Amino acid sequence: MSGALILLAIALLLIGLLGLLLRRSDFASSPDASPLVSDAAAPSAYQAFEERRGELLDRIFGPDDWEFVLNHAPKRVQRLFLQERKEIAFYWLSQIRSLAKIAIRIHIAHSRKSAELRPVLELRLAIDYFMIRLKCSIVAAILWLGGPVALRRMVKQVGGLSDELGGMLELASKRDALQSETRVPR
Amino acid sequence: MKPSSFHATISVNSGKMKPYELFLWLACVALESLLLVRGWVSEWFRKYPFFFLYLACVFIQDIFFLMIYLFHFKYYAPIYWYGEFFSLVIGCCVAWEIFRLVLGRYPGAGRMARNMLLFALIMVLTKSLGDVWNGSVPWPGTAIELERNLRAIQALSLIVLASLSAYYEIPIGRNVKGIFIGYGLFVATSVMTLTLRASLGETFQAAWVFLQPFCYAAVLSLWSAALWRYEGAPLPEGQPKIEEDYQSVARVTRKGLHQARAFLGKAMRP
Repeated sequence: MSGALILLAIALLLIGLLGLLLRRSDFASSPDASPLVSDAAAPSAYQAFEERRGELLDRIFGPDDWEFVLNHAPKRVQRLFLQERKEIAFYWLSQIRSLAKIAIRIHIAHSRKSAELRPVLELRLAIDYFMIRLKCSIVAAILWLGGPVALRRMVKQVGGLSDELGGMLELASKRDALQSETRVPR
Repeated sequence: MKPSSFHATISVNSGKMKPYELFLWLACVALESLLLVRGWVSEWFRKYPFFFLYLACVFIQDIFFLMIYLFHFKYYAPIYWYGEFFSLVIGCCVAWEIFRLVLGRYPGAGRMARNMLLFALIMVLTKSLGDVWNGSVPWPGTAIELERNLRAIQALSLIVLASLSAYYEIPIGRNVKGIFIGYGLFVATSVMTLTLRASLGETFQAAWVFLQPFCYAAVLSLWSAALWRYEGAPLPEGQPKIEEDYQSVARVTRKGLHQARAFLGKAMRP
């Protein structure tokens, strides 16, 4: 039965990919769609990112502004603040997405015609790219649910939890080692 | 074994043909002849030789099978399976032709496709042989199972091609896209119907004799629409202004992705 399910999955995957191909090709053939981003777009995108990074990140995702608004502003302003911060955070996320997209599209434009293309390297880059896209989607979901302030709080909690788990595992392994050392031979 | 016919399927329980079965059969023959005439008039058979060879073979088979069915019904089942496997072999040539048409001008992506295909084939064959050796899965005992497995291998190869052409954004002309999507749909629906027929047995027979020719007729309609007017392949891209080394391009890409990841990390951690 599992064999049949695998075969059905293969068939459905093929149908899905063909649908994707049909849609992508239609988009690519529309006159206003540029085929690939030009090489010049990449350095300017990086540069713009570098300039904005330091000053903006802590303001968007940090708790300072939010705590101030929480203590000194009425509910309506608090709501407005959260809404605007969320929009800025989403914009920031879209910048990261487009940065990754530009990098991979330039690579694709150059490598697809290259005869010396290395499959393992290509696979690694593709995985890297899709992992960034996946992380962006997860971050977007957190932002949508809890807003930008929740993101760092959540990451902090997860980090704390993983540290605790690590500590517990270390303790458990030490206890096992101690027990095996103190076992009396019969 | 009761065959569902390959193209215009007809139930074998009786020698009598239901009206919708005859309609489907004749519709398929009509669409095939339309495509063949179109290919002959426009001389596209020179551009897509295996595709038109495949269509011609299937067209001859359909007419031959219809004669056998109507006048020598007892021979229909064995002849059907011979015809089926012959079509399968030519179908492999069509798949190869689609590979050539899509990736012919992209040696890098073509090399990726070959490697991925080889990897997929080795994995499938190793697993299948391993299962047969362990006795967990029997050797395909029926023609349906054998055809299903061979179609599944074709489906895998088309999955590799579709993924690579989507990932590398390879431009595909209208005609080749039509052939590719039509043949891919035909293979995918064949894998589905054959899998269900092999798993569910007789209970699926009634649906099978309708679904398979219906899907094939739909594919023929798609091919007719895609090949109705000629649209040349997209113009070949020019070479990059500066001939860049693949390794250095990969290094720059990796740096760009690393930077994006670092920004994302910064947003999450102060």
